[in-house]
Amino acid sequence: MPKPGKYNNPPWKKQYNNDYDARVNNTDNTRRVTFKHNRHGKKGKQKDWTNSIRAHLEDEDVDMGTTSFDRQKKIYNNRRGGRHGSPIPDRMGPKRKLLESPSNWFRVTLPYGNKYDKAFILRSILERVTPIPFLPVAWSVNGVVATFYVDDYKLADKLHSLDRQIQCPDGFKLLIRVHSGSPNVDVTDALKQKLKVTMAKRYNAANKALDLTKFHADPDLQDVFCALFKPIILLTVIDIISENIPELEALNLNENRIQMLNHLRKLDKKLPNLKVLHLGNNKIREITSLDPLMGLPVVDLVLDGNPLCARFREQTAYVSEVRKRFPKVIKLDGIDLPPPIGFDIAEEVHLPTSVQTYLCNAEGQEIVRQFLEQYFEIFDSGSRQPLLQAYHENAMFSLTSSYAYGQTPKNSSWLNWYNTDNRNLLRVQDHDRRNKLLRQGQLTIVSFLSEMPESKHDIHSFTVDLNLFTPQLLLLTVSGIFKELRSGHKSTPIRHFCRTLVIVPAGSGFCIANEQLHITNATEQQTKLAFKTPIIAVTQPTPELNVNASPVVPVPIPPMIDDNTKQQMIQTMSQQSGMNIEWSQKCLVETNWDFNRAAFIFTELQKQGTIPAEAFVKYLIVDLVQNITLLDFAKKRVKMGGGNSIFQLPEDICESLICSKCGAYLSCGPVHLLEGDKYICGRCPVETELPQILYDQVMEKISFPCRSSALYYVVEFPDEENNGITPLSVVSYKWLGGANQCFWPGRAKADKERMKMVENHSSPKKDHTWTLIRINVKYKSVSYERAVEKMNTLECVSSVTQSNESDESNAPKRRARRPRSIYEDYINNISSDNSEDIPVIRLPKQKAKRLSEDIYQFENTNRFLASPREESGPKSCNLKKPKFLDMNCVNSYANRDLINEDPFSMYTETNKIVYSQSSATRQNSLFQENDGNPRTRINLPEYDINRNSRRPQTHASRFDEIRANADEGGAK
Amino acid sequence: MEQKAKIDQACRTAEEFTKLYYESTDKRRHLISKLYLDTGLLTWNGNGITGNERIQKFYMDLPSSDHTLTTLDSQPILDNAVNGQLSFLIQVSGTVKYQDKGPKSFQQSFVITAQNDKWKIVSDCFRLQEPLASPDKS
Repeated sequence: MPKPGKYNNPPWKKQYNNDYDARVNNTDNTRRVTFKHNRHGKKGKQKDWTNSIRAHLEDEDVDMGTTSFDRQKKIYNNRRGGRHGSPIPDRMGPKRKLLESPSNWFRVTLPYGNKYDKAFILRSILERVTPIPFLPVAWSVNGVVATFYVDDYKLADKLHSLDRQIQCPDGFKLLIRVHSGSPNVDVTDALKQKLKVTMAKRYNAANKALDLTKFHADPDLQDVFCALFKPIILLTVIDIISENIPELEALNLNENRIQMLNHLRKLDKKLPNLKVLHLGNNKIREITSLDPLMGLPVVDLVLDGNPLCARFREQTAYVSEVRKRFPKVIKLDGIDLPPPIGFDIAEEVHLPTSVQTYLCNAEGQEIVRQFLEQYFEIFDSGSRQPLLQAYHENAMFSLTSSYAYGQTPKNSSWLNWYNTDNRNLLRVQDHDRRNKLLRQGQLTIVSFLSEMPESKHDIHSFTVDLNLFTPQLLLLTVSGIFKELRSGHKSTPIRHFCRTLVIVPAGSGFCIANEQLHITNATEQQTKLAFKTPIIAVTQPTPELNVNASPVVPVPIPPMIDDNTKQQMIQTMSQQSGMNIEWSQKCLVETNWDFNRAAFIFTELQKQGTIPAEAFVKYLIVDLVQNITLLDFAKKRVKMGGGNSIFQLPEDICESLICSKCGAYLSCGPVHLLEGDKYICGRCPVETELPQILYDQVMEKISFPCRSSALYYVVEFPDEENNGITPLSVVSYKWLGGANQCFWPGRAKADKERMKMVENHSSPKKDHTWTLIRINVKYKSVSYERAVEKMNTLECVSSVTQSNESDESNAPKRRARRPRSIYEDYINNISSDNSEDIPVIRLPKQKAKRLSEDIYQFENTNRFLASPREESGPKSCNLKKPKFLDMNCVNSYANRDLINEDPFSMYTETNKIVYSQSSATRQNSLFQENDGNPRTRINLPEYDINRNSRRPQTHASRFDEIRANADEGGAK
Repeated sequence: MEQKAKIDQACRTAEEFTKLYYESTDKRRHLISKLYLDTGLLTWNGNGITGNERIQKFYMDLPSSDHTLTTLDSQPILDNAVNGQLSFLIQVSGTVKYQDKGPKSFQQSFVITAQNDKWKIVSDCFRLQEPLASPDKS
């Protein structure tokens, strides 16, 4: 049968037009041609429309577009043989019986319908079909052809008989073709919207019932076709329901000519509360057609009026078949059924509710939280080398991986990478292979971890079980979701992991002794929820806010807040408080990311005026996107009003740029941009117009992995020793001239001027005023103030011991001239508390001692750590991230870094560190030469500028160190 | 004991243990307390249960189960973590059906230790692989 689209065909149209012209004289004849074509068009099309010759040979009827009308007629007549000139032998005429279609939908085609007024046609038809209701659906026109659909057999049959019965204004009789068929549907947003509106109208919120009886006949939907027997429409409708009214309890789908329900397999998931379902007067033929609906908790079902009902001779068989599928039905077709007799067993599977976190000991909470945060931060960072610290020297690690239930390599992301190293004992039977896949030793483990695809963990998805918490070990099981990055998959794989960790105390921190990692793909549900952390509305009551409260007060388990949320909180905090990002972060970190509390504390401190001005100095933080060059930065800076600004560059960018002054890589610190797109790393001094305080603070707070040297040196002048007192002075690193020598601007210069020169790092001039004098370095620091402080202390010590007056004129003393910032006070407080200016390197023996300390003392360490931070409140919060596993960042790990800073460092018998020549020759090194007197150096306290170094340590040094550690541990 | 021998033993023990354990949880729950230390711990989806008798009761209340293992892994725990007491860390993954409902993936890890020539569970941690129920549902 022809499809409406066929009238689009140019030859067709042409033919029709010819036809029409011809009909002016001889209507009957032309009609016959048309019909002929109509009847055989489909056949012809299937063969080949484009190949006219072949078509012509096989079925001349098709070839209408290329042959003239006369020829056509001739062929016709030939074929029809003895029917020349006979009255129209129209087999499609009234004699043809219109068959009832299963859907009961009919397409009505008016081949010339569009030549006339639609209203006229509809009115004419209506007049003739009365009293049958006439509802044309989806009226559409294509050329001169008009098409619409009706959903009633009687009506269709009537229309069928009306062919050539209606006289048109131009004298022709209206052709009407009727075939079974339903409109094609294209579910558009507009249609969905329309459906939604109509459904809303039919929804009864009081009894949660939706009545979709004869939905397609809804007066609001007459211009569209949306019969529910069309699977796509029904699915759309169900989706709308599950999106908008998932609590729906009653659904009436009566009289929708629904035949198939296969597409409703997931209905029990989408409408879990559906209790009343009416499917009466539809076209469901088999009781088995209802199988897809099994699982629905339906208690009231109507199937009456479906063909399937007639198949049951006995009511009992019918009921039992229905009950097989819907065991809870107590009302069928409006008739109450006797309640089914069942067995008294628990019907529902009640599994205990899952809990996100289990802690066998609440004291472990903080340790676990910090451990995991640090571990996964490093794990997700570009380099996993720092994880060396996280593993015990003899640690064991093994990986297993499998596809989750229902997943295969075909329908989920491949796990091939993991499967290569899958130590699944059920599969790997070979002993050697089992042994090999159990990775032992921290180096082996970390190198394996480093090979693993890059990842991003969704901390919010984590479940944490702390199963054992004893002085000897912690047993921790963590599971959660992570994204695999850059692993070559088309779509980012979302994986599920489960790690079991045996953690043992080591030093002041912890390390992993055993780890088992299981990796699988996330389930559909998990994927849906992955990385979609809602911002947690912090509703924790904030009882009494005492800024100086002891930090060891047990706090409620802090909600795991992911990085994005944290960033948002920081931003908001910064916006609302006016503090810069660092200080905002600091404030939030110290209040455990409790925004309200942070805000409260901020307000309190602001009232007291204890927040220093520096907190409100904002650095320009620019998010570097690939193609922005530093030139762009420079331009931006110019726009901001010129001057040298401090930028924070992303780490990876910094690592690819070289400082134009010292030639070392820029680290993730402030970078000075000078005119001409030059950039200078944070450790190099710049002749800057920036307020010096800002510079100092940045220096204090941000660590620079590549910085290997201090900026200010306290030196003594051994040649000018007077009565046992050696004059001291602070000099700039630029003045150091190698081999324990230093340039000196000469005594002619006034102290004040000289001080300025030191502070500004003025380069020594090559003239006679500058002399090279011998010095011993006593101390080095990044901060001028600290250097001056130290110098004063040293001076006091020496004057006391010598009980002699120092020669003021010979000792170019420096005084701190600027009021010290609170931050410096804080630093100094710590210093005085420890009676050491900087932490002394913790020696192996001491470490061993710590190792033997039990875990509960750890808490004290923690307390010790936390108290200075807390005392100083946000004003002096430590910006530095704690070192890995180390609760006390000022302590041992910092020193380990220092050790590892130099691969040649080693322990001497006296347990002091001796710097080898390699470090001494380093540019700007404190130890410009080895004077063969280790004592002086050893006694020199050093300010550990690298204590936050995140630079990966070399394997060798780390290994040595751990071994040294372990030796000591073994010794105990 | 030599390390390699220990690893071998860990693997063998894990194979035997998991067979016994899942047979017990699926079919002989009334005997399951014997597998745990008196002070053993079961963490079932974040619910901690201490003591072997209570663990047994917990299992009795759980719907009937049918576990199928997919992966198994085992390693000896480092001596200094457990004071030389022979202990193994075992991790399994697989699927579990509760009372003929659809299978769910799970991961479970154990620490077992040798106590008077019997292996006993020190800690048993079970997690279904599914997102945590959102708070509004609970």
